[in-house]
Amino acid sequence: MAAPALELKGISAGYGRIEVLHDVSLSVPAGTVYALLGPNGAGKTTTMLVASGYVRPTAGCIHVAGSHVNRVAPENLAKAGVCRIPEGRGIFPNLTVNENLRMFTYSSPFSTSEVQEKSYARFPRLGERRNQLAGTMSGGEQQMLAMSRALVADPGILLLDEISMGLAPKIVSELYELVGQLAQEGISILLVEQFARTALAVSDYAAVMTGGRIAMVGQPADVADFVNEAYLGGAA
Amino acid sequence: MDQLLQLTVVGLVVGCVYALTATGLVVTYTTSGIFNFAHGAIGMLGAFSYWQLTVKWHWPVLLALPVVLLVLAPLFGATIERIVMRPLHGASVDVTLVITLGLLLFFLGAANYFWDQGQTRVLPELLASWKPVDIGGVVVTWGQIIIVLAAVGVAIGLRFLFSTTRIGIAMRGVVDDPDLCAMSGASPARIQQLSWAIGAGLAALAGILVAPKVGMSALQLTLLVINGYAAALFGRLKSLPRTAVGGLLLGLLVSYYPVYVAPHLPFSTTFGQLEKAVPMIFLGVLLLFLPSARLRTATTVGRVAPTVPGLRQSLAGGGVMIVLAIALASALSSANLLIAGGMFISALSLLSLVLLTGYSGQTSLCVLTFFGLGAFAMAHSGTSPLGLVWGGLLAAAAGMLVALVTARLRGLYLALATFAFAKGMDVGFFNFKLGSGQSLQLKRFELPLIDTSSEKTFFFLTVVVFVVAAIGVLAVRRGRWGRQLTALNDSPAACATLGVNTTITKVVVFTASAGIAGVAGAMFGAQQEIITPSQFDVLGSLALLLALRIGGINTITGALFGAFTIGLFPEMPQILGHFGVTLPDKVQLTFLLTGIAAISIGRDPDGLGGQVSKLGLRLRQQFGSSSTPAAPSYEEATLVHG
Amino acid sequence: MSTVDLETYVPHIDHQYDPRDPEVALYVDEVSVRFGGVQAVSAATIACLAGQVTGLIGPNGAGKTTTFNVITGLEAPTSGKVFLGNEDVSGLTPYKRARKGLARTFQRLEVFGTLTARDNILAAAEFRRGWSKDKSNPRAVADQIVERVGLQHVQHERVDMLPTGLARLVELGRGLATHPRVLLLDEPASGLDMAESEALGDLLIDLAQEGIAVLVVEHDVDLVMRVCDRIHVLDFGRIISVGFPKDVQADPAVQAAYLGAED
Ligand SMILES: Nc1ncnc2c1ncn2[C@@H]1O[C@H](COP(=O)(O)OP(=O)(O)OP(=O)(O)O)[C@@H](O)[C@H]1O
Ligand SMILES: [Mg+2]
Repeated sequence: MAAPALELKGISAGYGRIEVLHDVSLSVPAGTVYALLGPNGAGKTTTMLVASGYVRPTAGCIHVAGSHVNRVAPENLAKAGVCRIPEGRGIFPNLTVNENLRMFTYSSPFSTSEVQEKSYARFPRLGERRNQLAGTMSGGEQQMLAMSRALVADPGILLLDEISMGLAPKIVSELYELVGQLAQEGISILLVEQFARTALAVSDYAAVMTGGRIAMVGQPADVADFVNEAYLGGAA
Repeated sequence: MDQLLQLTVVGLVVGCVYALTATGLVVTYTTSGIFNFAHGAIGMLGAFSYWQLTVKWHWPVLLALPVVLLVLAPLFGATIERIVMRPLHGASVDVTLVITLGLLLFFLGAANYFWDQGQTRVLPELLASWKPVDIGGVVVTWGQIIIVLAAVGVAIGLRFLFSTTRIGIAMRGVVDDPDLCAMSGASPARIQQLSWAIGAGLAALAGILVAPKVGMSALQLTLLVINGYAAALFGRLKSLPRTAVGGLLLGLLVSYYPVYVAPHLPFSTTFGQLEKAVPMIFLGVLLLFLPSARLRTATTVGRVAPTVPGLRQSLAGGGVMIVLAIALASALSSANLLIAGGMFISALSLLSLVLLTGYSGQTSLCVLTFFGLGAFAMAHSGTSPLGLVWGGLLAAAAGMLVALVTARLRGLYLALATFAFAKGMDVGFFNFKLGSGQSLQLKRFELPLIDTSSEKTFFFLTVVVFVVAAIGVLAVRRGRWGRQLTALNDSPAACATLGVNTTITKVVVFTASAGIAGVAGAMFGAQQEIITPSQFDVLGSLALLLALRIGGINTITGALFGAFTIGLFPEMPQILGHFGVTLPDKVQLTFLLTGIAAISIGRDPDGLGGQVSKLGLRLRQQFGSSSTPAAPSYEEATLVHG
Repeated sequence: MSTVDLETYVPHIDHQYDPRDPEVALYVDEVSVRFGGVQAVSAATIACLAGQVTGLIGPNGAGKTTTFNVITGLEAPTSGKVFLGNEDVSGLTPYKRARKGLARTFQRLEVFGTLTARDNILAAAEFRRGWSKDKSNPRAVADQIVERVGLQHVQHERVDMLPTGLARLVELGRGLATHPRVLLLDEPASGLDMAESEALGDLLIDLAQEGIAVLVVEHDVDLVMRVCDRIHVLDFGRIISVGFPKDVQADPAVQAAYLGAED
């Protein structure tokens, strides 16, 4: 059996003296979609940062496709196929749409024109605005541009941090359709979301995180029950 | 007609020089977000290395030129990036400005060390042996033609690099988000290093081309680039073609000015003498009338927000300081009292920057101009102590004017506007009114009951003025105003939508700050009893800002530390002398120390004052929990100093 | 009022209200904005009533944030007017509009990052004390609002250290501290988790009940449908639909442009 696309074992990490993650372990099997859910401040984004090399864990180890990558620099991880789409806007504001796409070719097997073709086919809006400075586009348009990078990177493992944030429902469903398609093509995906329903619909496995620990791991259906319990039962 | 042609040709050549230097500046700015004051100094070092290779060591030009332009300068640029610039990502405007100023001083010091400036050197023009060309009656040397060709070539080459190649696009993109750059698989460090290498190469090219004309003077070559600022601004620090056009326009303007412009202006004799100020006036006008471009917003990386001592604490601190001053006054000799008093006067002018830059985030490079106006008012007040008031008021009025005119500018644009103002005042007022190289005698003010002519008393008086101002500034900081200034610094847009008239707030702060600087200047005049225009030079203002950064930008302690640091640097050789260390004359210790200090700021933008704060915080956390409430509020939190 | 009949409806006019109606707290009158070649907003008309939550929804890039910028005076419209409480404020600068009771939050955060959460709100309360006749104690106001928006647990943390969702609540609290009559919220729930956005919804309804006119841009359709009294839908800068939530949701034009197929 193939090694998991991404595996975190006993990870502790934080910023300065504050530890945010405590002994977090999770494993994304190759070719699957793994949803990581949980409330604000649970440590989901930090988990993403650790997996992409931006935050060094204080304990534990990270494996990407079977190799140990604890001390690998982020840009080299990116070249090795770890592609993270950050929360917020992962774009270069002072470059045009076209130029942004050009930047994305650094970690893409495709040529510039192929990258443009793919992105514009998926997001026609971007094609209409190809010479607009990315920073002047609307929030959602920027998010589409950021997602194009995932589209063209052909990554080994894709880390998606709250991609639906600030997007119109129609685009969100399109994006999730896209996530589904990418998964079909065999790309492994780790997905962070606040909203369980959309994320669980496309995922194969799911975990819930609270207070820097994994609270539960399981099949999407079980996790959905757990989440409903926690939010609706617990919040009242 | 002949004259017009001649002036046009000269103007175009000069314009190409401006364009070339400005292009280098723009390249560095677009790729690193840093406005590099040291650009000229890098060019100067390039010119001197080239001189060393060709004139001193007799290398052939065809070997020396590529060695300097393609090897030495790029390596040098990459080294600067590695050592100094890398930690600076996201630093505030004033930090980047003072650090590059520090580099400038450091390079000047280094040049003095390697190439004794007392000696005259000649650098022949390129292709000097070729016969000059006659263009419609104007004789043009091949050196000049090469300048034009180089400017055109560089413009085209860079345009190609930045708009069509991937690495060029990456260079423009990395400045906004290095992390994202890495996420996309491109190494931000490499890319930035490359852009500094290119920037340094361009600087060296400009240096080598203009040195034959300007002469091999380290200072002249270093400052030459300042005239290019206007051209860079014309391109809004972004567009290379516009920068080139700006350079040419400026060249033509400078060339036409004495013949076609000045005579037609009112007060033509006055304006005729202001030829040197033309590039600065051009810069000022551009800043006022060009539509404001999107600037990178200030960030708050690594800013400690030190907490402000309460009224009781500041009064106590002030009391302690005055007692110390009495003790010091009786211990020090008259000469040393002058030096110590000078430090407190510097500290007072730094206080004005604490208010303006530290609290409200506006970078001003004209503090010494206000200082000078204060001194000037004092000089015209005879022995009346009202001179202090007039000094403060005159400076405050000037400050208000500057603030009103620059109300819509922020960040680097504001800094450059104040730079232009300072430079313009330098040429158009101080050197003009007092006479370049001249000095103005003045009398110390007299007070009833107190003998101000005694150095002891005057020193004591200086300390009292400082303490009063410091308590005032702290009181501002503590209250509503302090929060408002911070808020304005963090997000002007949000302030406006919460009902704050941001213009008035800015103008008030600017005016108050200028007033403090004016009082400091008046004290300075009274203390020194003689002033010279060079004391109010714009580089001095930059050095003050640097000193404050070294001390700590947003604390009173910072102002004191900063003032002592710059006060001590010039005394260093003597102090070392006491310990039996003598340095060779050519070691310009002040320059080198300032440079090193500046570079260290890049590592820790909070300065010495910030260190003290952090230390205090740590001590408090360890020992003093009893005095800290469980949930400290902003005013009461963390630490004491001041 | 039901869904607009697309055949007969002149799309940019909210027929029902007039800027002079007493219950209208904010009226955006045929506002258009053009950026170079991009028509960001075209002749959009929006009426917000006191005591109601009004929704402004639409696809990404439809011009919602731009409309907010025009209302607050940060962006000058190419044409059109803005009325606040029956008064034409089109010529006023942002701070003057704020003093007439207009507050907003930003989609791309504009917090005072170096201040703590409470001090952000306190600063706003102090600003208000500076320009209004009401001289109530800013500290008391700040404490009360911190509690109201649910930030007690992070009130002493620097805002640039907070997660996006909480920073949005800080902006909301800051706006409330100026006692607005009209409150504009640009995607207040984005970045909030389910429990937090639930609480936010309740808060918005409360605010409206106190008489504030709330105009909210939000992509969380469930939230919008729950809290809004009336909804305007923007698409390509035009108002394509106005009405009660259930009608807007059923409007085929809105489904095609924004909601996507029902699942
Ligand atoms: N300064 C500008 N220059 C050019 N185009 C701009 C500028 N600002 C906004 N736009 C364009 O105007 C349109 C409207 O933008 P706006 O930010 O108002 O959209 P929005 O409805 O808020 O979208 P979102 O839901 O994605 O935030 C977008 O297409 C955007 O690209
Ligand atoms: Mg928007």
